[in-house]
Amino acid sequence: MRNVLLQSSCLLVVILILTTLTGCNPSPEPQFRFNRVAMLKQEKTDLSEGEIYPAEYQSEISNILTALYGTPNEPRFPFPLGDDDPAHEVLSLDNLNQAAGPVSIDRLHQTAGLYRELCSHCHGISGDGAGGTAPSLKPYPRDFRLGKFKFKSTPLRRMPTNEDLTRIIKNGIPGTAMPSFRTLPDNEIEALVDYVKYLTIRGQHERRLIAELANLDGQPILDFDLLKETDEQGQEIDEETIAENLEEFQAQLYMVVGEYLGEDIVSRWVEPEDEIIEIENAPAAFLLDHPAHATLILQGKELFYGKANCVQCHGETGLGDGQTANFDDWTNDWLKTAGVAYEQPATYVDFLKAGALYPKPIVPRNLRTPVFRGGNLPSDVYRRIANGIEGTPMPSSPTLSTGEIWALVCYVKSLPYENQGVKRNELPVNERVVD
Amino acid sequence: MNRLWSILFFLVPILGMGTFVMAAWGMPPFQGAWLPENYSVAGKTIDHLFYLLNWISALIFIGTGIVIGWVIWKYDHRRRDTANYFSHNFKLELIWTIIPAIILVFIAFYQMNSWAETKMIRPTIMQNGQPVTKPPMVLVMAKRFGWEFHYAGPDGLIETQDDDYIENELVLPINTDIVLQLETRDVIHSFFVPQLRVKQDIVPGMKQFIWFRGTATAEMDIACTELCGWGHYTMKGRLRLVTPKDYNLWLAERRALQNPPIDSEQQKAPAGQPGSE
Repeated sequence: MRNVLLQSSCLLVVILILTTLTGCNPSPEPQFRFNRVAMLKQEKTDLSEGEIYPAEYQSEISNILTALYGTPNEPRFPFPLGDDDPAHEVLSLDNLNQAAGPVSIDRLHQTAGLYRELCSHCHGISGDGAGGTAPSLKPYPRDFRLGKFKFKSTPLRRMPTNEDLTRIIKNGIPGTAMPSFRTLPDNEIEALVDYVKYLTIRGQHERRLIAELANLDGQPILDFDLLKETDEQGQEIDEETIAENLEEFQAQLYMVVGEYLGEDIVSRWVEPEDEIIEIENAPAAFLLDHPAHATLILQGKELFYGKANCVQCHGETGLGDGQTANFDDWTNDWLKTAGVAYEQPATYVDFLKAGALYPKPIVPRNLRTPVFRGGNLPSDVYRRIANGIEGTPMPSSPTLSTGEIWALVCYVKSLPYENQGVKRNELPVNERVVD
Repeated sequence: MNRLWSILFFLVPILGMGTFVMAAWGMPPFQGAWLPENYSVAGKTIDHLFYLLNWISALIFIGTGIVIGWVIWKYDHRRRDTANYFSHNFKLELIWTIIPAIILVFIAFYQMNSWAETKMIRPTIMQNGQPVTKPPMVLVMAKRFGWEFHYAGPDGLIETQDDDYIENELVLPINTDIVLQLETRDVIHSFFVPQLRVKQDIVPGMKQFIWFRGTATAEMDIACTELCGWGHYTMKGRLRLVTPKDYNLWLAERRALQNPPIDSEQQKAPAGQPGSE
């Protein structure tokens, strides 16, 4: 009896010690994930079948990025021109620090680690849109690293304005898993907007460095020995030399920025407001009680089936069933390189292993549900038709006049409601008006 | 030392009740641990039920604590070394079955009205002299990880083309019967507003209805209380209870947004002309 008691209490003590030791270890500091998918894509383009770039290439790129942009806990940003750098208009380091790092709140209710608390479980620590929740979502969360944003007031291939990003964070994207964060105070949303830009610029820079691999020849660009404070014999170097070395290292870094960042990645974020497309006023017939309202709807209908050719993708009855085998740019980015059939995952399994999400086709909007992702106001629908949606098959419509776009908005808004949750027994009547 | 266990058992009802009393009065460290302020008419009966059940449980809890403590104190084995073994006691078992049964039956009948009011009898409106159930004012669409609120448009009906939706912000008038229709886009969620004493699970493929009547203007959180995935903790909405006047102003503002700025030139144009540039 005594023996059993002794044994079991000894076991208990051992278990307690073990759990205390393992339980109290801090989790490892999170790191930005290297863009393996872009690397694999580059290897398939540059090298012959089965060859890969040596591991030094990846560590060189990671080192450059860490030197320029820091880590998820300590973000940095290159300002080659110092205080006068135009990049200061794009983002502020204070905002980055508030959004980055571990989640915390101090006695003055100043929050930090907002990105990790609210965004990373979908968008991922690196902004690659591959967080823990991502695989089960449709559509997938945005991968910022391509530098493309869907819902904005600026034209295609232009960056969104601060207001555009703020609106998405505040309103969410109905019909997707992106929730609204309108309960956050304005300064926290501002911090998140800057952090999204930071992850975007970092991701684009990473992609560009990977694309430059073939020219690098594996030669290290940065001389990290310059950062050492002791020489080879272990002797301390005098302060003057340290300062000189640091300056030299800084110069190398900014050379990288000049050579491989490309001016456009950052400068495109400076004052995108200048690019906003103003919306001209709607015709009076847009109002429901206007006598010409029905005529405007009919005009929109004719455009839908005819000149604007919406029917090609959105389907004969606007159910979004016209063209359902397309992919968005984020998937096409690697899927096209892999040059494979999407039905045969075996042919692109190496991309999935590298971290790409399983490709899901992009489905055109069902216009008979009142849920429009970019917003349900007439001006929102107008912008989607006029500007198109970046990264998707939805084109801009330079050939349509303002009046014609308003007629299309009017027609789309007039389509009867269809509840998504209710099973459809028969298809809506096809009211095609143009052959 | 002899009677350590009996003293410990006496401490259970004393400390247990002490915790409750401190929480109810908001004494540190239990500030804010009690029920939040109630803003709903039906919430009063729910609170009443809550307190009644709490008192019944408290009496039983204290009673059993004292009895156990007393038995251990009195029949300490050091004083009485012979135990009395018996297999059953019919009278005793009858008593401790019947008394709880009576209490449970009493609770079952006592709560029937408030259950019916909050879960079964939907508010009505008069239509052609006949009372009909009030149509839902807002469709609450739960999704991972947020709340979409689809407001009825000018036609007063939800699930029509003129619906207006807004995420994570629900504005409702006080002193009005509110009916909400709850649906989910994906998995099970639960709509919980403690200040309104409202909690309702939302199951995929089902429509749930909840109703309440706000009593005072206030702002409160809407929380999801069904673990719905990784982002469950971010699934928070804001509910603003405002006066009916403010509500109508807010609604008018939202609806005005649905009409874009109109070309003044066009307004003068003869009717029947479709708009063009």
